[in-house]
Amino acid sequence: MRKRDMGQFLSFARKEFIHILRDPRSLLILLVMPQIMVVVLGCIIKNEVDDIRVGFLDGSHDYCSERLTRRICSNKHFIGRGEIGTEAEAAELFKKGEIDLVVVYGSDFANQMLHSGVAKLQLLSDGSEPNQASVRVAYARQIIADFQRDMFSEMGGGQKASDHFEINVVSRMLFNPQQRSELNFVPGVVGVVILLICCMMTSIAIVREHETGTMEILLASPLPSIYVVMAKLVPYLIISLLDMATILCISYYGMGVPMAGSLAVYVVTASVYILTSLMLGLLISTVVSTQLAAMLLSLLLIVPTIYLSGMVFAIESMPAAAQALSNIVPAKWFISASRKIMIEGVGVEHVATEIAALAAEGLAFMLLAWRFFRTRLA
Amino acid sequence: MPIVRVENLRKRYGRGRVEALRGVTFDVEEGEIFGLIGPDGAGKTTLFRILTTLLLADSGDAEVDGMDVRKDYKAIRRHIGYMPGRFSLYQDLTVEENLSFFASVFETTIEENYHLVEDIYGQIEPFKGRRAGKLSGGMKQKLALSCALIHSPRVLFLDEPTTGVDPVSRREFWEMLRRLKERFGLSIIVSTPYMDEAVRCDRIGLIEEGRLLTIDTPSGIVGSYGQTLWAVRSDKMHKLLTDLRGIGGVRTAFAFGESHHATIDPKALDMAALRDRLKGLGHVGISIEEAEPTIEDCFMSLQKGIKK
Repeated sequence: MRKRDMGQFLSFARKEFIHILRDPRSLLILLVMPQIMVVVLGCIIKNEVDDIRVGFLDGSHDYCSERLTRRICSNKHFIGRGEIGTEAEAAELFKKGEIDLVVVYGSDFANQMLHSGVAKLQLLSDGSEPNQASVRVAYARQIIADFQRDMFSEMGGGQKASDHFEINVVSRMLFNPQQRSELNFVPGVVGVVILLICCMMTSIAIVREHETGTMEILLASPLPSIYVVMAKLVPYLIISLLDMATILCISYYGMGVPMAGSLAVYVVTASVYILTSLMLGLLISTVVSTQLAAMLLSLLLIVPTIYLSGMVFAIESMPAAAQALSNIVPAKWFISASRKIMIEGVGVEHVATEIAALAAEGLAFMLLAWRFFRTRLA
Repeated sequence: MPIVRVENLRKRYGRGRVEALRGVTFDVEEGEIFGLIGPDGAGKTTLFRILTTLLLADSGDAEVDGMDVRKDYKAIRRHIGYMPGRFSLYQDLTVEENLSFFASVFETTIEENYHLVEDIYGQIEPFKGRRAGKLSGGMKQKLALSCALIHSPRVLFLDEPTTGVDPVSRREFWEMLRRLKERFGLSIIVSTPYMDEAVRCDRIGLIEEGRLLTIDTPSGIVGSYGQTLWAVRSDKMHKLLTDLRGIGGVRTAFAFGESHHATIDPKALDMAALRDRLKGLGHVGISIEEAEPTIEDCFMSLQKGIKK
């Protein structure tokens, strides 16, 4: 982009901001509605998660498992309830409501960890309170991750690749194997909000130029027409990032939604998702010619998204055809990745598939939009 | 060399069902105000959109400033100013924001080309902080013209700029165009459905149903009318029109302001006979006078000629 073009581009983006700032309705949808959605969600979620009563099912009794047990018990959120003999016993305790979480160590825990590099650990929680259960599991995961890191550095910190080890944590909700939880809705709400802003508001804004006739002047100008639409995306990109940040703050500080994994990885994932959604909005704007049509087409895409993204219904329990279909829904990848990052606390390597899928879809939307983009009126 | 050259342009819409242009040919000389005059649906807007590179013609050629509208569309877009038929500025931006935005779109600034728009923009500058949507019709039109001029175009395309504007503003607008032509030698192509505005142009093309009926200076068109035109009046104007059309020997009759304009076949009817016929039909206060033909009369007569 030449310097002069940059000037055109910026004055265009500035104009776009003025449009948004001077229209109270779009401001409301862009900067108030997303936060309200999360706050309403916060009101229906119970999230007292102190005094987690935790039991241990330890078949190894080696120095690693016992050290981790002590570490968990000494955490201020946890109350140790001692050893449990069998899984049936654990289930019994859950039913009586005498325990909230059970840590199950795999056999030969220390040996597996230090020699084969992968130790197994299972977290059992009470799925009849899915929301609290998620938070409890997330807290436990955080402690386990700290423990793993400390062990690692004590051992001199991995000069050799063979020194690498990890604790493979599997969590399972008893009485609720699909792990449904209201907490899982937070990533979903972010996903839908971004789709609304990037897809619907953006495509409406682009099509509005056609409807008001201003596109006619812009097309008859030397301004490369692809800048026209690209510049229109800028404000929506910034607003989406802003919404993502505020939603994250509200849910983290106000609702106790954990951020078990890396914030940076989450922001990267969300940014890729935002760009993909913007490209989808751009694509929609190239195939419709009225604001109403843009809105309807966007809604037509957003409603199945809510069903197929795993936000409301678990994808694993859908018929094969629906599962296959869910793969083309960008929100599915984003929601799955953000659950992994926020609640399960996994690292970037576990969400690489999701990020790649989102990026690929974004690229496809962009190429299609480029293909359909018109440099003339018809 | 003509600044705009149009040769046998044809354009169909709606999978070919609607024929918007059926072979239009004309030239516009540099520094001239060329008017395209015709009713709604005549093809004026289609023609403008082809010349401003917004639409592709099905066949035929068109050049603007020596550049082909199909191949050199990018270059043409730098050198033309276009004011679409509908008010197409940002209603939520202020007067000044609109103008400076369009200046930056065309890679210039208000300051750089202020001399071009001074005469026009000067009139609305006192309201530069007002949103464009809150301007009166005449002021919107001045702003739109300023925006189309700000980059110093070679040719100005104005699609029905005076539609929906009050008569005073309309007159002012035509005077502004005249001054633009005189001061800057700007070539202007303007369309209008108002026949009375035709005399403001250097040359006009009368267009209907995608065809040019004639191209000439306004006086040339009036001069070639070739018939005697009669202004007929009576006490019952509405009945008079129907009666006139029913009388043998009356070629055309249509309402024109205070009277009806009629042409007559002199072999079949003379004025005395016409007066008698009208008296017989119960008309009183009959007045029949010779009238100067206007562009509208010429349009009607040409239109009738095409239809026959």
